[in-house]
Amino acid sequence: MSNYQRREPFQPALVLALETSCDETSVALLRNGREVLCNRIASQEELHARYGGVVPEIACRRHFEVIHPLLEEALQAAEVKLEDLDAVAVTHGPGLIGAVLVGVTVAKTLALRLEKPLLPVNHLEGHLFSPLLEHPELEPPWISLLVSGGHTCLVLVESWDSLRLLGKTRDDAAGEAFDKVAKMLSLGYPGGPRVQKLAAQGNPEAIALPRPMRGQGYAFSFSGLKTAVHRARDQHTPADLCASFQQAVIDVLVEKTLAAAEEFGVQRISLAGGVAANQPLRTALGRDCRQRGLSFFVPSFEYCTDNGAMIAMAGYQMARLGVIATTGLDAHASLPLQAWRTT
Amino acid sequence: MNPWLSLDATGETYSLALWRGNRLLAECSGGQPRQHLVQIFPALELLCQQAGLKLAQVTAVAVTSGPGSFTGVRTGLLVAKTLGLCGNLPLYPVDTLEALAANAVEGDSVVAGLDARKGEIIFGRFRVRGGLPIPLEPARLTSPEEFLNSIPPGSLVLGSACEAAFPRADQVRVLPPDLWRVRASSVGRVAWPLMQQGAQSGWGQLRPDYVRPADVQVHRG
Ligand SMILES: [Zn+2]
Repeated sequence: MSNYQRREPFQPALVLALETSCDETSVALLRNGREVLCNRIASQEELHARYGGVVPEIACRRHFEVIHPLLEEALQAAEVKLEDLDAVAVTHGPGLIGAVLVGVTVAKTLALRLEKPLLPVNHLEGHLFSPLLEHPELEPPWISLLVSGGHTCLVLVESWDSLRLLGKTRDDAAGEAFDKVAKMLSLGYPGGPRVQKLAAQGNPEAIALPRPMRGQGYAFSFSGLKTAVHRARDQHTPADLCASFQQAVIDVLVEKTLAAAEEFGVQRISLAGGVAANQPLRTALGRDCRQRGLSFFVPSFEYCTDNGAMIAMAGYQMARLGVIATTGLDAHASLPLQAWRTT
Repeated sequence: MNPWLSLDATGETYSLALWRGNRLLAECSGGQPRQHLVQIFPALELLCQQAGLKLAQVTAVAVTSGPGSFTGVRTGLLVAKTLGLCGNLPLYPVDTLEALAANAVEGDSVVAGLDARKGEIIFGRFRVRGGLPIPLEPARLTSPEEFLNSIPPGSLVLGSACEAAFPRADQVRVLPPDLWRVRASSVGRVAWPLMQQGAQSGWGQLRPDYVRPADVQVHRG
């Protein structure tokens, strides 16, 4: 059964969005495709920290427990009723399949019960459109660097209905590499903020680490870098290791993003995803964009991590294109960008 | 009288039923394993059409709360909780084994058993009168051998655990396999007396009966 169907384009005045693809449960309300009325996020980070990574069944159980209280809280905080909604948006992949199922089951029930259209959102498209939440002036074409624990890719947003994947990681995602380095140095989980913190005390030039895939198009690879850090482990302080590792990651990300902007003649660059919360990365990319006269867009921290507001925004974009879900909508562990385009 | 819904999604197949009082309006069961999310909603839409109702007119929901597959248990409860939250509806959780035993209609010793995976079986024993089960002992999670040894001679046995009960088919009566699936009509029949007694739950009180703790296998992307 197909996931998607076409109808006439519309602009839902009030969108409710649910996001449960990994270890954050989130419910958000978006007015007129612009104003975030509420963006509740219940993080499960603590729950998984002792295991050093996300445990799918534990994640599913927590999503199950918190999604309804969170939904009720969000409605109360935004002072709206379910009957006021014009559409329901939900992440239907990619992600941990059991976790995605929780959000989709609730969203499908809501849509059927309230007789409102259901907007089936690709989680990555949520991240891609997240800068629009605070920068409504952002318009295609732009280059998006999407970096998170599960994904690292460069996307050219050619137009509202055309996303072009320029390249992605061949092995670890950038966030995953941070987690693994943190684990190697016994810094704990999640690794990103811990590595960043320790890196601030180290010398980014202390160790000559490789810059993987440099000059080789838009594909990324971080597993070799992780191995290089492992080899240098005994000769250097953890602070220097973190600083040098972080710098190597940033150099590769920034370089490829700027190369893409140049090749495609694009004036706007955005940064999105959980790793977009990394301050040195934000600073470096922002600075280099300015030097080249490019506009740089990066969401606040709240919209970098997984959140419902970005799903509402991406859902709103789907409504504007007239794409909605069928009652047969499924959840998918992996889902290509714009899978709905073939509809 | 107001219409209400009963459903089961704890097993390999789903089942949905619409009621008015204790009269069954429409029932629909089926589907392929692990396709609940895709199949339940079109089925629910069709069921409402057949009964000439809108989902918004449903005023109560009865649902199996486990044991069953983790995902299946969550699916049924999430549908019920969401409908409950939308309309502030009373919800009636029903034990999966009890709903299964209700398929037997009459019996002094009815054993409802489910394959609980990992080489184990979960079962309960009931007296069933007029399609309503009365538990005789608490549910137990055991090995197939232990399960077989726990069935009193003359019992009626049903459920996916029956594969293991066949070796004793001379002493017990294994009911036909089409009765091994939980029916939404059975869920509703078990829930109806609860409704009469006003024994409802709010959406915040509905708890899954997972039987087992979560596996702690970390996800590797
Ligand atoms: Zn994400």
